[in-house]
Amino acid sequence: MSQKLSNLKINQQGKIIFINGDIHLKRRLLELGFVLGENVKILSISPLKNSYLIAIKSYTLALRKDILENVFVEI
Amino acid sequence: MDNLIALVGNPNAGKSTFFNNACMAEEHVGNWHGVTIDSKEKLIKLDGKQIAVADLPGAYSLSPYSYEEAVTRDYLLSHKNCKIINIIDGNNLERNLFLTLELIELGFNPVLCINMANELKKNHVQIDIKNLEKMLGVKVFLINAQNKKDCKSVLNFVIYNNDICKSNFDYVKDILNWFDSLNLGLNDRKLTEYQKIKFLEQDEYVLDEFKIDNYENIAKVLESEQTANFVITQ
Repeated sequence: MSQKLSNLKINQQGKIIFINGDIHLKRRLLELGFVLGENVKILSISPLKNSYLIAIKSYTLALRKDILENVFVEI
Repeated sequence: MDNLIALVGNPNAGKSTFFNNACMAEEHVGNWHGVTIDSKEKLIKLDGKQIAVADLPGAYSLSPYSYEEAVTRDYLLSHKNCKIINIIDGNNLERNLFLTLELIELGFNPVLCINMANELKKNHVQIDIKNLEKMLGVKVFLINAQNKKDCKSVLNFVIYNNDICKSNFDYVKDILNWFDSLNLGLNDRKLTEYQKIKFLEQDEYVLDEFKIDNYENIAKVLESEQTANFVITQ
């Protein structure tokens, strides 16, 4: 079942299946390693729940929630 | 300047460290991204040859999102003949290779330096250099930028090998051919390969530069083909 990456809970893992948004956002996410089929995991969420720390490939990234809402994952 | 070498790479990959050790410079370095925010050039003499080395700010790609990334892009575009050393962080190989691929796609012919050899060794990571060279068609070095010898040997290689590579990927040709077949009414403008590819990515800088007025129409044509294009980019 697909859902937004921002809906995942801490330590939940998902596989990227679709990225929404305009070409600029897609491109930027691609540069940061958001390739279709890649596994991502939420490591932690900020107290105000507006930014997320996620693990992708061999590194960690901190991203805003509104960006992650464009990434759809399969659990 | 004939012998101009530019250091390009992702933020915090070790470009300034390489620069300092190769040129005896004393640029500020730090273990976080965004320390270098402007291009810095230094003249050095190597075996009696005068060469200029330019340290550029880190960039994730050539479609800039910040001032520093724009500096890097502008520098590369305004110094067409410079040789490029692409420094990448061995710990984040996959992500760093995105910029490398972009450089090759756009015809810049970089020499690849995988930095942080010491850390890779410590973590027992081995990189198949030969295979990487074969796949990318560029020369690959495994270096530790803190080691002056490593830096010098890379510089020596770059200076004495003029046509390092003219590699290109088949899919780039496919995309360019596809662009030509689109009939966007741009054929008389004689776009360069760089501009064509960036145009397809709807890079604002390229669109601005050409003052394309009937962009709406073109956008419609592109939109219908966009999904296909995105797959190719991946």
